[in-house]
Amino acid sequence: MKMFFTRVRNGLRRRFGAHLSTADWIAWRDQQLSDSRSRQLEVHLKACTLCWLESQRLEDALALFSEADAIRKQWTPPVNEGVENLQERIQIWRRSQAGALSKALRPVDTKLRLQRVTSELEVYLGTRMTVRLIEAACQSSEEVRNILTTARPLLTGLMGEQAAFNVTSLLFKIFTPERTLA
Amino acid sequence: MNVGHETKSEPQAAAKRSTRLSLPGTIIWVTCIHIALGLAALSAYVLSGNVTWIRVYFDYQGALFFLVFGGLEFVLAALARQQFYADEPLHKAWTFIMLASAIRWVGLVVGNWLSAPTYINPLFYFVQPWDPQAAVSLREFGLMVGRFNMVLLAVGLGIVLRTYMRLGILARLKLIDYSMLALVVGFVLRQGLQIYHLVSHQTGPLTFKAMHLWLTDPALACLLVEAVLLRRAVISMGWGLISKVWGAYTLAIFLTSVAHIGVWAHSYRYITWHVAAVTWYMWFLVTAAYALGPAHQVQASIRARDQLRT
Repeated sequence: MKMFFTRVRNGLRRRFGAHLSTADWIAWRDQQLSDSRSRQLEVHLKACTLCWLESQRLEDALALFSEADAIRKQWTPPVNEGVENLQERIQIWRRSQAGALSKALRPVDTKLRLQRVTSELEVYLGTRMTVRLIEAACQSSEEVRNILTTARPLLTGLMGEQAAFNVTSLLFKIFTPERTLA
Repeated sequence: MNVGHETKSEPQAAAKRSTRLSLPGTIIWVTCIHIALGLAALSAYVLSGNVTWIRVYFDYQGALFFLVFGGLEFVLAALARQQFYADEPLHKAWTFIMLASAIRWVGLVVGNWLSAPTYINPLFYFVQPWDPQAAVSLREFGLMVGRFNMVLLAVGLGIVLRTYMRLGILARLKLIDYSMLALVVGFVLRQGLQIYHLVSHQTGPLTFKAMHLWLTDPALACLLVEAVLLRRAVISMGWGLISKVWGAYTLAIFLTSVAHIGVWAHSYRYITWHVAAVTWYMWFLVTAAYALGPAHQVQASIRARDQLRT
């Protein structure tokens, strides 16, 4: 009986199942999905031409990016020793300036981010649960990583994998926003 | 760094978003307006003595409320179920809750809409002349079918509690919880004794109608136990969207019990009809609370998606 329902469900998923999102594809490629979900996506990829084409496009884009990144890493500018020394001194000077600046700014910055993460989690998990979670995570030196690793399974259990992925992605974005350094 | 830009623009975005009425907010507002109109109709009836005021309210507006909100609950429960993959524990829980809502909807539609001789009832046009006796039977059938939702809901909430326990968020019970549980156990024992008394003094054959009523009370008791446990877990978490999902179900179960007690007390003439009239409106609140549960779950998913996009 269970077998029958599984088959019917899988059949319906194949027939009417939702197309893969980019997030699904990335999660699948990074082996972040459960076994059954991975199998579902593989079956869907085989059956759906649209998704297969999209996955090929993403694969190509990723390959291109990896290639460009590898080339960039290998390439080192031919500089003579004098310029190299000068660059080194400039870097030391910049670091000392940035260090003094970051010492003044960093606690406030981190505090703000932590506040934003807390208020975001509070919306879903409630005040007390969030406080407990954040307090537990802040006891470790890797508080950001800890918050994400503690919140993710809890959110997945209560909201489902997709919604939990969205929330943790947002938390990650809050912790590591795109920065444009001049 | 664009941190400054972020902190400046986000409160504006949040303020913009907050002007939109959320799904649970809409349900609450519509219910408040509906109840306010109902109380106005009741006042008009008490002041004028004209029964048409409350007849029109319950037969038309009330029936439409049950039809729409019952259906909404089912649709939202189906959407909430879709958020989970088949191998996730809450998928199974939402399957049972969705089936429970479907049965409740059928019960509400048959018991309150199709059995009433109103111009919004399609059967009223097809069945001529209208048979009041058949209508009463249809209403009883609807109410009887509707009561089976409790069994399915109890199974669904049982799975939810198990998931909460696995996640380590089932809080330790307090004295007030134990007192509530003791009341439920007392209620079950009393009902058990009553059933035993009825069966031992029964002369004719046992009817299905009587037997199904016996099933209702244990199912409601089971739901009340689950509601007590969920209530404690929800309080210990604080009022987030997820807590509100199960908070709404807890509220719906408690209100159902109060409404049942009202019906029972009125039938044994412990309370006057004026007091019993409050329980008539209680069923609207129960239906709205049942719809609020999945609405919060769906709202959480919508919010998670929208926040990431913005």
